[in-house]
Amino acid sequence: MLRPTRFPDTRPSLLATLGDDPGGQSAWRDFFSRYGPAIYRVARLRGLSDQDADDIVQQVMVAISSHIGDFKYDRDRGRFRHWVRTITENKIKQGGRRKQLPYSEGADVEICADDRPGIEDTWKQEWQLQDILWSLDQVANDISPRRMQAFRMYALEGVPATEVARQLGMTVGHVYVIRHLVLNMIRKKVKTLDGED
Amino acid sequence: MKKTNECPTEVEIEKMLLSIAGEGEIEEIAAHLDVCESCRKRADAISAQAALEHDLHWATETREKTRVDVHEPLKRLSEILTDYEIIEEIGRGGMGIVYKARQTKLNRLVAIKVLPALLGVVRPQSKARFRREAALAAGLEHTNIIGVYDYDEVDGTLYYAMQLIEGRSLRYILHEINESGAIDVVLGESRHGSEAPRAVCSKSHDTPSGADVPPKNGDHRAYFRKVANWIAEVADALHYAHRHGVIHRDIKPSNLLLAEDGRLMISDFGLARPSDAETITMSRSLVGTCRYMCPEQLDHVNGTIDHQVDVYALGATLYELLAFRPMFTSENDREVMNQVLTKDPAPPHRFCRQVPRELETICLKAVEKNRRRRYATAEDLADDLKRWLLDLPIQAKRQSIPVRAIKFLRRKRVSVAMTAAVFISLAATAYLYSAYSVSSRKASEARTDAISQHVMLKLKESRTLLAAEDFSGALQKIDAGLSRKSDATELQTLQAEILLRMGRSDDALLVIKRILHREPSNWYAHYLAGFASSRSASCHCLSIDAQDNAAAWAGDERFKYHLEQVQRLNPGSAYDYCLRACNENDPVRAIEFLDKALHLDSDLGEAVLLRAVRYGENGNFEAMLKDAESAVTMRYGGALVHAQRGVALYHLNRFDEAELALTEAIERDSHNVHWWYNRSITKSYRQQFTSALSDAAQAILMDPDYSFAYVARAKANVGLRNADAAMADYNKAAELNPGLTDVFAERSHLNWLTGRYHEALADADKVIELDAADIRGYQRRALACMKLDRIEEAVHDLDHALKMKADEDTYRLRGAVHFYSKKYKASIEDFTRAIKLRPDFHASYEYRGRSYFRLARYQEAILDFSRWIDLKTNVETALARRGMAYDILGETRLAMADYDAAASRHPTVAAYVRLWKYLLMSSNGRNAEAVKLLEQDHSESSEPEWVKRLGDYLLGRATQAQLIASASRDDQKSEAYFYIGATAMIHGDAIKARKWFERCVEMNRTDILETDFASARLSQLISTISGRPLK
Repeated sequence: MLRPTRFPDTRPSLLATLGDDPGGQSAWRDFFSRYGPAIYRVARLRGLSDQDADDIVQQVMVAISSHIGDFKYDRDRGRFRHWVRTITENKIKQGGRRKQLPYSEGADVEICADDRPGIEDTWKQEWQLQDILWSLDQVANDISPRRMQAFRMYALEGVPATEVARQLGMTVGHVYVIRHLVLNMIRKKVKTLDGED
Repeated sequence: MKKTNECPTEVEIEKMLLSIAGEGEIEEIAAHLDVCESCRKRADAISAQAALEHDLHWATETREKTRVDVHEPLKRLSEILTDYEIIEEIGRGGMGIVYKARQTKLNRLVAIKVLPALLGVVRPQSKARFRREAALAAGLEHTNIIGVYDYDEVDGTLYYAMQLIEGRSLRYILHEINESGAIDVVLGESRHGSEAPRAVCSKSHDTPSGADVPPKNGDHRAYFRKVANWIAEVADALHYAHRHGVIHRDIKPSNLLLAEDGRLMISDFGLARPSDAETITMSRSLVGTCRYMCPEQLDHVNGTIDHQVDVYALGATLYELLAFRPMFTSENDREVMNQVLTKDPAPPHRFCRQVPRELETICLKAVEKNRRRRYATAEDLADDLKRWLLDLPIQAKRQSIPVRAIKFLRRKRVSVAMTAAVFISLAATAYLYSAYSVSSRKASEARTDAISQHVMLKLKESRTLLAAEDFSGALQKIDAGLSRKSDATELQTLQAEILLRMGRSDDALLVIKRILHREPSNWYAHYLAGFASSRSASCHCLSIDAQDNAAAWAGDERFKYHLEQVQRLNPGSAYDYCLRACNENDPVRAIEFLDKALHLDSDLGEAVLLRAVRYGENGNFEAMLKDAESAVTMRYGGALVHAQRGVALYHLNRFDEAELALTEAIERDSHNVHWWYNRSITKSYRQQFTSALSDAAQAILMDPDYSFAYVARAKANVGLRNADAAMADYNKAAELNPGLTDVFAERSHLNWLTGRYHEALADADKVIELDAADIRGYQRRALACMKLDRIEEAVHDLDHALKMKADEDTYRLRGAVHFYSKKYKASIEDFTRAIKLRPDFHASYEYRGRSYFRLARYQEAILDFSRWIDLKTNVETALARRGMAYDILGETRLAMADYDAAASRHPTVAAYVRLWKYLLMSSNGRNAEAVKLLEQDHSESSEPEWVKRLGDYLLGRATQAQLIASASRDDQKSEAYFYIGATAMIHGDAIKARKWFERCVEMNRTDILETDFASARLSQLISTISGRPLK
């Protein structure tokens, strides 16, 4: 029988869809666009080349995809992020190790120190960055493109309000108000994410 | 809210700005800000204080700097798809991106559909399913199915290369109809002229709310006939797929493409997709798809999912073409699902009153909620549509006699205009014969003539294509012929022959059964059936280790029945002998039978192929190769023959050719897991381990329970030095197939490589226990014994193996044992024999060269090392060894050149080479230069720790005692002794040098280059001391 309870009214959390839905492409796309850049940046910060960092992103994604079924998402985003972080750090280490030592018989594998200073900060920053960007993108979906454009130009790119108003055919007052409107919306979104932690 | 002319206080405006929500507030505040500059300044100040805006700046900038595209994995597409040249992107959708590309090898345009990493497939088992489904889909060949040419998965990115169809999807066409209000868009020609009939669909009064279907203009009769024709063709194609065990599972307008020639084609066969309700209900990507899912697909508890899901989905598509709206219109998935499960669709004529009632009846039968009342097969749906097109009574609904009479009168008018695309079932024709007038009989006779001509034509066309080894083309012609006359024995016989050649024995059997059903005394059909059943029983006959083939060939009841029939109907014929050979356990007698068969009929391709197989069993690979090759020249052709050729070449140690032959087999038929396995093993022998690994992985994906495939993957992993992965695979294979000698033979080898000699010995004993005739058991045993210092036993085992078979492997191994036990002359003899049997294997030259080296026959050693270098395997070691030989001979310049060449190829070798160059320079009196070289490079951090310590000792920074103390392993100790000896030699202390060289040689670490070096220096010292000149 069909179980109507399977259809939550609100959008289920990203992870709930990832694990239970092998074909959930849009969930993966979300995941990829949310976590991909973070992983990439951390890899670059660790000194990997552009292509190697790309590889790391791929490897992490593959690793996560094959183990996501084992991962019970109990509304604990922090734990999931920690998991992503662990996998990423491991892959970076392995990748780096491969580069440093070509196979030589009997060679002992060097052990990388895990607790390098800065790792903690890097990831914290990444998650924060990701939350902000995700919220920004969500808000961009919720309001009209014209208003979003006004916000981008005025608040983010520093175009003078009069110029923005002229280009987009609105009043200067609108430009000002939109700036605050969008900021309010983003703030709210970020807050809901913090609540998830 | 303040009026525009009254300025709010700072607190007030902050409060206002931070709580804006409704449109009214926005307008109000905006209006005030428009006129009040001071408030604008306040507003700016407030946002400037907000940390969030600062963060947003930082975040967006960072993102711009490191943008990772969701489709980033695709950018490397052209690197992955080396066989294709990407031309342009032609489409993008939820399931991936479609590119137009050129397949360079065949110079044809294809469409490549790429499912981005992780979007299409997530779990390993899904990957396996992708492989299976894609493999099945790739086997489909039908004019209404977009063919899958190729598919693969690279780093999680799945791609399919498909036939390129430049057309519009049905979804797009329906959209166009609804936009333009004209149905003529589908008729391919403009009918907008004034004389065109303009009928009008009007909205009925009982149209459900919210479902407006605007009236359509155009020739409705032509439109609905066109639609019926399309759907009938697609239903035929679906039936064809279903017979081949492939269910589409996602038929919907957007997956049906209208090709330029007017054919409607099914796309996306074989794309991995949700298979059951569990995943479907959780998926968010279903919007628009569940409309075409039948109740049992949505509600898996109530029924099984089979080919009927496609029948329903096609019915739902037909509905949309009739009613110009989906069956269930809700935008909400949950609502649609409920409707699918509970609500009967409104009859299409409610939305368009021109819909022919019978077509509507057919459509509604296809979308019956109860699967028992639905059309049982897609073919039934197709047949009913064709009946409707020919104005024959349809089966969907019983009709009264007068209705049928009217239909008959109408049918007379159209009978001449029947098109080739239209299929009439013979049952219907027979029915007409008995029931209706003479005039219709005449029409039928004329048709029968036309049909038999058509059959002859198709038969001829098919034979021509077959001669060119175009199996699929030939099959297509046959299908076309059979579509006019489904019981044409000639066509079916040829079809069975072709299927047999393609290795599709089971499909062949199905076809032959149909012939025998009509003609139980058709001996040739019995012969083909016998051959097919023996083939399908012996699916393992193509594995390289073809041992129990004979058992597989015989013992099949079905086979015996057909053999009896052939012997009864056509005794003493070539066919009789050929089948008897299938039934014969003893390969020698089987070959005799086949000789007789070929004497009677030298063109009997099956007999040639079969003889190749039996020669293979008998170990006569030369003859096997000859037969396989003559099968190729006879154009008996097909993947099977090439695979046989590959197996023969493999056994003849002609690995390069074997790989090519197996590649040809795989190119012709990529579905046979054995060939992937065979090619993987062959590649491993060619030291192409990475490529071997991917072949083995392919075999495992195709059949995760195929133990041989794990052996192949492990073998490749051994080559790539992934010992743990290899061990896991061997254990898995042993678990799947505990009687498989291969596993224990190979695992023994791996245990040996990783220094677990006792385990290696146990595995070797297991091989001998399982199969005393398998020489690998003795080979592995000998290797283990050698390391356990049981040299005599080792030699004894290998002597025994050589008595059974004078194999290259065994000679090489005995050579190695002799080398290890320092019997260099015997070792040289064995390696010379091994080289004669297989001149392209580097290890033989390596060890023969080293044997010469140990015997101080340096010139001969240099020759062998040079041949080894030519073979391009482990070149750095080869160069290092040749350099050493030159070094000993005093050829300083040549030695230096080889050392440098070796160093440039491998960093670890480079580190050691520095030490040797130091020794060489120092002994030539270039002390200062030597020290400078070592000191300069010494600072480089890439040098392994141990080599650094050796360098420190040579530079006098560490004492002899310190060096020995820091050598923690045997190999390091052995190396330390050499360098101590070498230092003593430079200082002219021959006695001390001799003592340390002797210690080094005594340890007998044959894996260390320094041992050979020490032994050479030692013999130099001895000859100097005994008064003979150096060199």
